[in-house]
Amino acid sequence: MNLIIKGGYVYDPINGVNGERMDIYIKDGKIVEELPEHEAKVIDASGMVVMPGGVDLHSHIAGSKINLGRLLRPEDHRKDPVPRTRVTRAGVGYSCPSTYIAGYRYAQMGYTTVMEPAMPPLGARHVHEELNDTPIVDKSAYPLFGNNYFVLKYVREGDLEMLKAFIAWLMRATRGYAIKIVNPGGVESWKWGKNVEGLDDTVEGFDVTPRQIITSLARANEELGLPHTIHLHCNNLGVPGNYQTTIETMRAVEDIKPKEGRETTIHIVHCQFNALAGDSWATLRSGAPEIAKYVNSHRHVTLDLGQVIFTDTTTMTGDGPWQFRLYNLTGNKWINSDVEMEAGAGVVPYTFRKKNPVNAIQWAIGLELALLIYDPWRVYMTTDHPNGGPFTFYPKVIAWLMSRKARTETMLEIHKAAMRKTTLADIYREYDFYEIAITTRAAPAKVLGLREKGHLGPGADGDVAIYDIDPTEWRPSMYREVEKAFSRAKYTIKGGEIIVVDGEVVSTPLGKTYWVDVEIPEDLEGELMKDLEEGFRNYYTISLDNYPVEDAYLPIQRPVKVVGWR
Amino acid sequence: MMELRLKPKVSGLSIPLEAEVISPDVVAGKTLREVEELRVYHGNRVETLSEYFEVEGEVAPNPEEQLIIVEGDVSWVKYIGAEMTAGKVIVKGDAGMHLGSRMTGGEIIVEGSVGDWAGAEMAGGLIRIRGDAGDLLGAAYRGSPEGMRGGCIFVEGSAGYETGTGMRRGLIVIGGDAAPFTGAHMNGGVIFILGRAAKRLGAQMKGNGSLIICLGEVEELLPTFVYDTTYTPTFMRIYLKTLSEKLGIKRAEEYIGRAFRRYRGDRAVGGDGEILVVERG
Repeated sequence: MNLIIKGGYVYDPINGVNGERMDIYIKDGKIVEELPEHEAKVIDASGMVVMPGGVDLHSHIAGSKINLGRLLRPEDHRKDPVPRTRVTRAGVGYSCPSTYIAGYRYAQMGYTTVMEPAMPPLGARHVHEELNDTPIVDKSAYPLFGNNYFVLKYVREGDLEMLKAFIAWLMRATRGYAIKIVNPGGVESWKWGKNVEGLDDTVEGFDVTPRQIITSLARANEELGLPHTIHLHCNNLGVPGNYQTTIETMRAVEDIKPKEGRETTIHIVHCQFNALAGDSWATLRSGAPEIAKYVNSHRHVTLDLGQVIFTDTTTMTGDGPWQFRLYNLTGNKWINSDVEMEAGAGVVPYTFRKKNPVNAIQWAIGLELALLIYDPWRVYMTTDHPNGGPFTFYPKVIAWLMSRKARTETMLEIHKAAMRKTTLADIYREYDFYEIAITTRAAPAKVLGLREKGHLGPGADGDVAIYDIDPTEWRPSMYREVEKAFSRAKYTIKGGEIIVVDGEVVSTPLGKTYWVDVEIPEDLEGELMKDLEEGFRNYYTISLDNYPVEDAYLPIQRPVKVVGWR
Repeated sequence: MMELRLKPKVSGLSIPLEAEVISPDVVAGKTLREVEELRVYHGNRVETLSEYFEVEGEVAPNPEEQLIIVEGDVSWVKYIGAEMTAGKVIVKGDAGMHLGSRMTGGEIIVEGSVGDWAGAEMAGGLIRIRGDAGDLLGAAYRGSPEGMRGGCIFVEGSAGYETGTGMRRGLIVIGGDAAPFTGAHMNGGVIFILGRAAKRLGAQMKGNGSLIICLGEVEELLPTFVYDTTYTPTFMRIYLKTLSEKLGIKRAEEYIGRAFRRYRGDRAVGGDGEILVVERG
């Protein structure tokens, strides 16, 4: 079906379109220059905001971790049942939504691309099975590398070529998209009940440091020329004073040369949890200004927020030792998971409370990061769903970013620590629609290297979100309107097909799965396979032949070809 | 109070009926005709209340003045009085599962016995059961950190497994025997057992003033409950008098002035709850 979206205020930052009234033409699922009106269905978007479909580069929506969360939290499901409709399936929601509901709810907010950021390679089949049951959105998953046996081995040996070959092989074996690193070295040490406390601690059993792991993987990533940078969950997450570790980590990769066409070499995920200053929970304050200062003066870093929402949620990360700390802090129920040679994980339910000083500071830190870093192309809005809060709260975060009044009103409700221990009250900056379009779609698409996403130029995928709000009339005091408009898109169009009308899902096609396909030189592959065979024979519970994900698990796949070796 | 009578048209359905509409909050302010049209769920079908009950009597303008009398055995009806906030429901026979679950106020009287999950996660009000209660009376639904948060449940007969699991506040009085795991995961609140208490009483009980008082025989206490002292608590007099006067449990007064052995636990989880067991003789 061909579509013409007429008369909306278009925000397309990649093509420099800032709120101009113009028409968008979609033919065969792609945006085109022009289309005769009689050949297409016309959508009247006058007085509305038109943006590319949203791109979320970090949201735990599929795989073993979120599934453990689902198992752990029947009470979370009970409060949010979703009945089926003519076109949608029944399910449950809230912090660990069922796969179908996750897809629908993203589409209802105008999002069309979502990335699962932590795939244990052994659980890759499970991840892809769940992604196949997550309708509408295009997606991909990032395999975990930071504590993998082979990665640690090659880093110890200083063998960058073999590391590159292993990355290329594992990307194909798991159908992964980017290098995810979670608490490098820490999760490996956790297998012996230990953790690493800084970049230069030694990893238990391997004579390597987190610094070596991060820089080697970053260097390998850039030499291979993968579309995304390394996707790093830093060491010392959730430890007061950890902003120094975060800055040190960014500094560690300063001199690595990015691949052609990209300026950045590292993406720091849910930075809010890694921007705590102070010596203890009692003296906690915000480290966001220091991080922002560093990021503002260095071009090689991108980060996402991991914004805290005051609600009952489920924390889940591949960072087993941190989840154990959180379990000890809260006394809540807890799941620990160990993925033999590769990774680990933990799940703990957590409630962010308004009157809790630590939570109030955390809430402020997320917004501080977004507002103090001047370049919206390098700071992305996420809640690290479901760690900071469910993704369904994105419209609320958008309201906070766009309206100082919204922030002030929340600040008055919460613990005074948010005002005393952070600089949020002194920040007057407010995002406009253009900057929101950057931080929620254009910039994430760009840093992910997805050329056909995040913009509305000819050749882009026909993914469009239309929100019923008039930007010319809008003032920051009307933040409730913007929250409402972004919660329920007037229209969501995915690949030229109308998916959502007035916030209701009307069609549920299956999206595609991106993965990175790097060709490995033959001699190198032979050497790697010899190593892998030995490792699998000695230590793995499954054989090498049964390890790679088959094509049957990816009904609609889009391999991104990368020439790793020239 | 204005009286609305529901007379069952059928007896003993093999697939139970889910009728959370049998509640003063739902009924109040409607006309009799509207009450007949209220939706009930039978398996995967949505049907109306009048297909299963003859509806007669008066409807009050607000729930406080509404009395609903269910005339007959309705052990096949679930969720009677669930989430009610005020008013009164009388069931003249047995009632099904989830009776008065999550209720916050008002009163339910069941002349017969009730199924499982009666008063689960309730936060206020009174449930009085003349017969026996099923399992998980006043318990926490699976996954919830907290069970009963307030109010009072009085069972004249015996109670099933896991009574008062995860209890946080409120009072449960069991006139008869209590099955195993009574007061498991308890973290506040009071349970009285007048009959025989079975094994694993208060397993993983935490503290916050959680208290199980056994006026009858105790089969066996967990080894993680530590004997503390034998004493005659002053507050027991007030408690027992209140049970006698407010709930009409006359035999509670027999125990006034009796000595109790106090056990603290569950030490397996560092808990500091108490089990008081009356001294024989």
